[in-house]
Amino acid sequence: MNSTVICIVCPVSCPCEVEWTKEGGVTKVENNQCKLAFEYVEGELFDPRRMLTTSVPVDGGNWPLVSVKSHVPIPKDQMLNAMKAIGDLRAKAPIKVGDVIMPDFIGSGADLVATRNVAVA
Amino acid sequence: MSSHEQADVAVIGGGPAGLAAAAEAKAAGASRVLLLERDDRVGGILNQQVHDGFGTKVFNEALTGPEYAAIYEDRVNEREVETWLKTHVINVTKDRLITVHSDKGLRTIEAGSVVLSMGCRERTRGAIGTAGTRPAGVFTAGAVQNYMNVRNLAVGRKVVILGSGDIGLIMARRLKLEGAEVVCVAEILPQPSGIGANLVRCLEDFDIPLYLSTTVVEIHGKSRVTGVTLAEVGPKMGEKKGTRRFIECDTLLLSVGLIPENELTNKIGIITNPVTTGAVVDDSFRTSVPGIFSCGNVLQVHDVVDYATMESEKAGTAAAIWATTGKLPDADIKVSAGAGLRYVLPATISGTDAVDFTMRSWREEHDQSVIFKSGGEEVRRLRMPHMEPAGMIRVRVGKGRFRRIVNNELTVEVGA
Amino acid sequence: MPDKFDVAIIGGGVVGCAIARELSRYQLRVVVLERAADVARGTSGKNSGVVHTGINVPTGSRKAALNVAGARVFEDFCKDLDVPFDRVGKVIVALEEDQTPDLESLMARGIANGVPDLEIIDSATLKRMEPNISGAAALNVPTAAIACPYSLNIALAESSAEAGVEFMLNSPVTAINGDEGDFQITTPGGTVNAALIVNSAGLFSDKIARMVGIKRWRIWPCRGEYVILDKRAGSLINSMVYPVPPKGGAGLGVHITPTTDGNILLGPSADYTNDADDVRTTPKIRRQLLKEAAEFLPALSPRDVITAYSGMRPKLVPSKVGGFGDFVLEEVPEQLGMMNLVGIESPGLTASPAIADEISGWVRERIPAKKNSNFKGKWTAVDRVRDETPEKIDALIGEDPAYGEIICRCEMVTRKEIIDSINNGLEATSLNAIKYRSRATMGRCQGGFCGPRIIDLLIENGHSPESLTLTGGDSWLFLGSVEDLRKGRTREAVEAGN
Repeated sequence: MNSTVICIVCPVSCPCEVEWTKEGGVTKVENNQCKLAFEYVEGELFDPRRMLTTSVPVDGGNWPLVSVKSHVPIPKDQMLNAMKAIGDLRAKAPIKVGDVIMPDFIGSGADLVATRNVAVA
Repeated sequence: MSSHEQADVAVIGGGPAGLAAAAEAKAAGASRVLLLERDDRVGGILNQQVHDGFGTKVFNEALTGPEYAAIYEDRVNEREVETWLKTHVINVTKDRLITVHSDKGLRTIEAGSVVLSMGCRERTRGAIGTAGTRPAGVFTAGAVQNYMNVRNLAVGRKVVILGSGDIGLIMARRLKLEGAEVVCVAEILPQPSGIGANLVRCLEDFDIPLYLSTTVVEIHGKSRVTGVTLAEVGPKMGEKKGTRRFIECDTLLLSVGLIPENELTNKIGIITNPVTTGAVVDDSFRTSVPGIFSCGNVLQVHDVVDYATMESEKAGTAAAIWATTGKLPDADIKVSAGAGLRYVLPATISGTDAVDFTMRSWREEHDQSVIFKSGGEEVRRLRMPHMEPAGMIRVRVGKGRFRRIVNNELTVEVGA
Repeated sequence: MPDKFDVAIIGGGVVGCAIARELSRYQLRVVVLERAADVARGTSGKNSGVVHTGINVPTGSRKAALNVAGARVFEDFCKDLDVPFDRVGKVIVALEEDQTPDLESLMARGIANGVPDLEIIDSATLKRMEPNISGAAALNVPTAAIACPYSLNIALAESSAEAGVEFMLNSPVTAINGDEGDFQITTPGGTVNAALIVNSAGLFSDKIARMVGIKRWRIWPCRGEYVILDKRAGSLINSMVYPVPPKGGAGLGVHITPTTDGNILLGPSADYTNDADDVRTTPKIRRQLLKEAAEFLPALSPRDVITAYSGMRPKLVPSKVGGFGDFVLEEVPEQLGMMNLVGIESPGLTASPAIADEISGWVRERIPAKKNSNFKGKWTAVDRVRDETPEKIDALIGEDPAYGEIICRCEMVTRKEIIDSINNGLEATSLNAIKYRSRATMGRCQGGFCGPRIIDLLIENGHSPESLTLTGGDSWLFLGSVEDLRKGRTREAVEAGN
């Protein structure tokens, strides 16, 4: 099969022309500017995943929120469910970049980690 | 005046460009580097950009804005750059005498070199002339990003976004994830303004419709926005009759372009490029005024922070060299944008070192090349599978190629 | 609040507030009832800010008398209240030779009305005075001036409030009962009792009159759109540049007016509407304003446009009739004890001190009063850093470091000025109330950068985010926190604490 897949690894957004089969996977990628496209295209066709980035309210911090991300991408169709899982979550200052705010937050193996330092107010 | 200070290099603006320039100026041998920032923290817009995708060129991984900013903030601190926060530059003279306003009073700084890295601001409703009433609920996308991600404030529940710039697309996803209804994104141009990756992960992933060649022709609501009227536009941006439709919403986000903040640049009397509105610079990022350099979004609007960082590191290095030695290679070779390109930077080069040229195309192009020519002969050619106005093109040309330049002129164009 | 006021002024425009200030010289109990969340929200806040000389009004009319009287004292009027005033002068430009007779008749009328120093200048003299303007000839009106209309309106109100006048904002009058000496005025917040009423309700003065059975006037709202240009274009002109007034038109024609802050205004247009609140802007008129202004000023660039806005004229003459309608200042037999000020459109700003003088006389004939020792002849709201010398700025920062923090970078407004604006004497708390007191958010970024920081200061001063508004009423800015959005709470629920 042939597909056009826009690589979203970086802002260049290469519109990759892909040849692939269900059994044999990706056999050919064209129109890409770097190698990262191969891995992305394969993932996008067989197991699409996305990084989730959002924020969690903080008690007692010098910021009212701590920005967070899934430490690895989560299944694309789980994005809105993941927001529900985060739901009422609150964090407490101090927080350091990389601190796990909620381990394995949707059972996919991804931890929710802080992307900002928040000091005690 | 309260005090008078001296510095080798003074960097104006502590966003990603200023952080990179200051850190490299220090590394390149400037003994006192001042980073002047008007906000109460450095990092600029990165502090509010909690999404990922930063750092793929510099660090080979996708970081979030705060993570990317933290790396450079640590770097300026380790290298002992002096950062003055809540410090507003009110004047810079051609002799590099800077006046700043802060809670310490008015101070002057005599700087060996000055780096202008003030960034850009968002185009507003007033500037694009959207008709209708003037209710609450009309915000620029970046302001909403700040309210949501820095100040924990939600601006509305049912949102229309005008303009498909990257911040608008990012905010479409952010609002949707947080439970708002994002009715649609309307773009007046026939092609999107944001990059392809954001169209995929911010709109397609969430089934948010993007209407091209469509704009908001009227805003409704006396107190708070109650809706907008959309209409399609023809090739000359005129409204197509019979295409008006009312869309109910409580919020209108504008993502209709960025304007480099060159008020200070113009006040100094630096020559600017009418296309970018930023300074005309050489390959050391020198402006027309000796000892004053410009980099980052105030020079040209970038869509990839990594490139702004790389550009600013060079500017910072050059600023330090100029401040400490007074010498930088003469840039006598004139570079001009030819067919297919809106602009190319830098405007002049020395030819003594490799140059990263940055440019934007007029149109979306497939399977074309960027061609460097001098005296009618090709100097370098790079095949581009895909070019679009939304994506800055960056091409490195090694110094060996510059030997082929004749008459000190180089043209860059798009061709087959 | 007292049980009963001596005077209730309905309408917090420049005329109502000038009357309030004039009455505050005396020991009188005065209340101003304003429908909006702040003063200066109607005609008075959105106009060209021109201090007219009186050349445009028919000799012998009330307009002419009050205009000329107002113009004579206007500079001191502004100085006393620390309001920006600048005698920039005006040129009325004939684009073609054949308009020169119109200039001559304007000059003749000006002389008859007592306007000094008028002269007709030729094309070369015009070019010397205004290098960017082209025209065949011009009438030079050197005594014409500009003032900041909303700053004056606010200063009049706040200085009156300090001297003891009560201000009730968000208080549209819905009914008036009783009679002279004992009026009951109904507003959504309660009933106000007053002995006398001054109806200075501008666009709604006919409706207020009708509440007591006076049916003789009807206001025809006439919208005027403006375009405002960046300060970088401010140096294109030195004085006001007017066309020869269009015959039978509703206004003076599209003019180019410098503002006291260094911007340029283009406009206003003139469009009759049925809705006094219909302050839309339209792309058609924006284009037309730029086109008409460019006929005089070819160097204009659409890139310099910061924003557009509309004001509304309270005209006494419908569009079909056209022509001149005089100011009405009348107490009529249908209802004694109520002074009606109707049809106070241009030059109402200029005439406001003279109108206030006259109305003060009317009040004191009925209620004699002693001088009020709390009245201040000179009054200052807040020191504005952008107007000060470096030495003074240093001194101000030394006194209060909040002067050292610039919040609005486009207009150079410090934290101190924002805080003072938040704590204004009228307790007006909307974002626009801060804008019109401090100029913050008025510049080229239109609040993109300083908006969030002003919101911080409002929250620090005890306002909850969900209670904040742009212009009062239902013009809410935030529904709550991101968490509230996530949980699907409505703003009303957040505000109620659910």
